[in-house]
Amino acid sequence: MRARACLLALALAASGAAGAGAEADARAEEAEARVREELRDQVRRRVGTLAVRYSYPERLSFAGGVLAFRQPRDYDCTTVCDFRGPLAQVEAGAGGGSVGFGWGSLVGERGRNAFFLRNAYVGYSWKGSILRTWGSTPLDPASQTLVGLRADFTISIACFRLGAFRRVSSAPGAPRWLLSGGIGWGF
Amino acid sequence: MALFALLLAASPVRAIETDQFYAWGRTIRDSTDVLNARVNAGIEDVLAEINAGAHRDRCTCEDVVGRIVSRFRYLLFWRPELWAMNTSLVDRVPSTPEEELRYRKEYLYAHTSPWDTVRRMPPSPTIEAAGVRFGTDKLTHFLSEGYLQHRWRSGYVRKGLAPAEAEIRAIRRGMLVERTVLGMTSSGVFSPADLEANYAGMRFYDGLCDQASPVLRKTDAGWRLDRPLDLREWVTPEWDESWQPNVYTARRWRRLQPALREYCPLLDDPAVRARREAYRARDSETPSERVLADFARRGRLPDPAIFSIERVCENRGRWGTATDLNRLPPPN
Repeated sequence: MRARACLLALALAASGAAGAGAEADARAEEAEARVREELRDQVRRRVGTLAVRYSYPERLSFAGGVLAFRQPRDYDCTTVCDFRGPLAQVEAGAGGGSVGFGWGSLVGERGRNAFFLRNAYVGYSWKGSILRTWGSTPLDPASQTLVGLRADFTISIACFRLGAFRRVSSAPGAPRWLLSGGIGWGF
Repeated sequence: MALFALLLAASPVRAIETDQFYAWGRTIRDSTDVLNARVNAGIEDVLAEINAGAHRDRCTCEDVVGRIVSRFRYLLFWRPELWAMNTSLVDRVPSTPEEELRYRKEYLYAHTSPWDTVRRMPPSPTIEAAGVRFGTDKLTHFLSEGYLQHRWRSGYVRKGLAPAEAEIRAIRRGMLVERTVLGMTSSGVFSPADLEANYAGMRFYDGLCDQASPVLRKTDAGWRLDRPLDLREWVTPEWDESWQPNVYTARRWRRLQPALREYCPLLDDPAVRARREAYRARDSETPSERVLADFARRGRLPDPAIFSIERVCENRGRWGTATDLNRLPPPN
């Protein structure tokens, strides 16, 4: 009798463990399905970028742009989000202006702003740019057109930039290549 | 000038803090299954890509691990962490954007100067998995610094060290990073909880290509994940920074004590007590804690126990409750 009771208890325990295991498996499968669904259900969005920089050869300049990205539908981005995608930026300053297209990748947030990034905690971008200099640029002659590549890095409160440009306008005696750099705030 | 700006800007790198006390008295749904599912989905996707590629037969197990790491890597915050901070599938405190903005004004490190490096990075919310509450930053520690430590440990083993000695060396090296760029020097906060997540991550990566029983196995059909990640195996109470106290610089500790004391009355909250009892039952000395204790014994680091909430609240009867904060004695 005692042996039968033990066997029954063991069988019940085994079936209980099997039931709990099956329940856990079902929960894990459901979780996987929900995660997969969320990763699939992405929407296209855009975010605005702003920056103030002091760079060579534009001197003090202001930049604005748009970064297009895809994200799960339920992301809000009032607080920390990752943004990755094609980036278009225009920039104008005392000594020149540029238009650039490329790729941006950052961790930042919109805050309560509906469109523009409020904080860029860390990020980088690279862009193919057309640069036109004017006014108070240190270049001689002041009016030159250049094309090149630019990379910007943002961390915390500051951004840094490096670039290399080739002159495409006529400027007798002026160097054909130009290295550019700068620091500032924003993305 | 540019170099100065770069140094100033880089100082808060990974000075990302979290506050589990803030979640005391609030309920958080356990997210173990979805967190597991998110990481496993990433791993499975990488394996599918490798298996569909032309070079799958030339891939070593460590190559596969490298590809998995690349899948999760992002700028300081790794992808699973960013996902956990945003998805509606993971319950967290703070849970809404409005609450998150309030959290930044009220969390432990909020009452400092706006120029404090800690405040230049967003604080991590608290989530729960395997019955333990921890900051989302632990996911990045597990996957990122855990991988670093795994690489260091493997390197030491290749150089001829015994596995146990290699592990200790890797932990010590991780501790050096936490004492410098990722913690004490950058933010005045040294987090043993971060070290625990690093250690668990190292063990996770060690297991992926373990010679005796690898989690990643090469079959005729390609690479497969034999045992999916289950955070229940890795998460310990030590990940909770309200249980495993941080070590602070004197300056940081002076500013922090009044904020910590506000939580003393909650030590009597039944849910808080039950959680701490459950932690106590599960807690055991980990290899990281042994290394830490050794550092403390040799005077290279203060004893973390002096920063515990129990120690802070020891004399609470003498200075009242949270509502009497204006009558608190000055911090020691």
